[in-house]
Amino acid sequence: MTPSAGTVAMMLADARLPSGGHAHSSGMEPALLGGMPPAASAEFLALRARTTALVDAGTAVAAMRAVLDGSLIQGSGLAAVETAWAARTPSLAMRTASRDLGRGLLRLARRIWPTAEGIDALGGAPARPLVLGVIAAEVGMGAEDLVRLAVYDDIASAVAALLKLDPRDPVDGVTLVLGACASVEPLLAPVAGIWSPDDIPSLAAPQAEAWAEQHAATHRRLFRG
Amino acid sequence: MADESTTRARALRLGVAGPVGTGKSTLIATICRALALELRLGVITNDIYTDEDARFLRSAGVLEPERIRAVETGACPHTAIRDDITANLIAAEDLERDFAPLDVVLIESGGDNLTATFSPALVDAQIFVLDVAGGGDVARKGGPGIGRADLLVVNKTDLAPYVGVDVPLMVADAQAARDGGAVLALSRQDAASIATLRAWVLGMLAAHRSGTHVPQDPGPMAPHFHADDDGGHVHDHSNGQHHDHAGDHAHG
Repeated sequence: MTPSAGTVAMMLADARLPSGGHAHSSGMEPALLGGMPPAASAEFLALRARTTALVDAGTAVAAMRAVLDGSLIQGSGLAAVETAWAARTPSLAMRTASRDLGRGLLRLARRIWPTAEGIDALGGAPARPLVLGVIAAEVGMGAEDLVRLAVYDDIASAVAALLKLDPRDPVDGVTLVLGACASVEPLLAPVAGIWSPDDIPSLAAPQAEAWAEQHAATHRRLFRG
Repeated sequence: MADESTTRARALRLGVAGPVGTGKSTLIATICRALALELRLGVITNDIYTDEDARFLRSAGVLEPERIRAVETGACPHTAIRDDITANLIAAEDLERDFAPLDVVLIESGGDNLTATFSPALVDAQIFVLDVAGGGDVARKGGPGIGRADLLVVNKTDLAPYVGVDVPLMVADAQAARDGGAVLALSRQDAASIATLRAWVLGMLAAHRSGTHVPQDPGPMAPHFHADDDGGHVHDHSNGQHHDHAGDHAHG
């Protein structure tokens, strides 16, 4: 029995998925420890959605297409996507966090889709969006669904952490997630249309990247990144 | 799942759980001191906040610092050792790969409360640690770790006179709560107790390698009491154990 792409997308977006995501905050703890007032969370999330999350979403789409268009056969497809992602993710702390998440997800994916095309080309600790792309190719997920999944998962993870770090009415958290996701909706179609890794958007968030670097050097934190 | 022969071939993964401040890190340091010359060891710590425990163990000088790794738990120490054990499994596999072959990987839980226990998918065996300073009645209160960890340690017995705890009574309470399962009254200053701990770890390693030890889930809940015509007994419903009244339950 093959699960539907829709079911898989929901599973991948589910915080209960056992892949180590609970230890990550999508930059939220780094921001709060860096001095961002909790009242600025909505702005932070909107910024995260239209920078880091879109880079990851574009990377996931490029990885999916690298698998689907057969460039794996030349052996360079996913490696080129990883290189393009790394060039657009200048913070080592953010790259490390994504590779931690990718490794946890890959561990799960190897058991569920052991023969998925491209899965053996991912190496030991790929960035999370590359693993998402390989899974999406395997289950036949649509590109727009994949983009929304990548954005939603990143934002929802930040808000789950926010509720631990700065407790509030949890419904306000849900509102934050929906607002940040909606704010990038007009930007999603071009990202879903990416074929070449060169077309992954180059969108930097220098303040958030600086916070991530500071956070990685502290000994007092609850979250991995 | 890894098959049984694969599991037996890798290091024994030994969990150490228990409330904050009962001496988990110190117990791990004690095990390392007692066994570092004869076994190849690695340590993983799960801190709730900071990597304090990993740094303590590195500074204790009981093991090369590279053999001590910290896992962050995102404020969910229960989750990281019980329901989403991904980060700990990855850390264990890394240690076993980087320092192959290892004999034992010790995994310290984030100090939490009486209900936190390890998944048997993460550890092959687990020690639950209480201390006399937490009060002599804690063992009697029971809980999954107290009741069914592979070993219950009653730690810091040297402090008993200062906190007004009767150690033999606390140990007797613990044995009653465990249906006679292993209880060790431990003090860093009591060489005989450390020798017993060392022997227990070596015995568990031998059982792991021979395949005679089957990892058990202490369970999420305290066992409950059924009165019946045997006079009643204590059991639990974890591991798919369904009211099998024959077998290994101690009847009281």
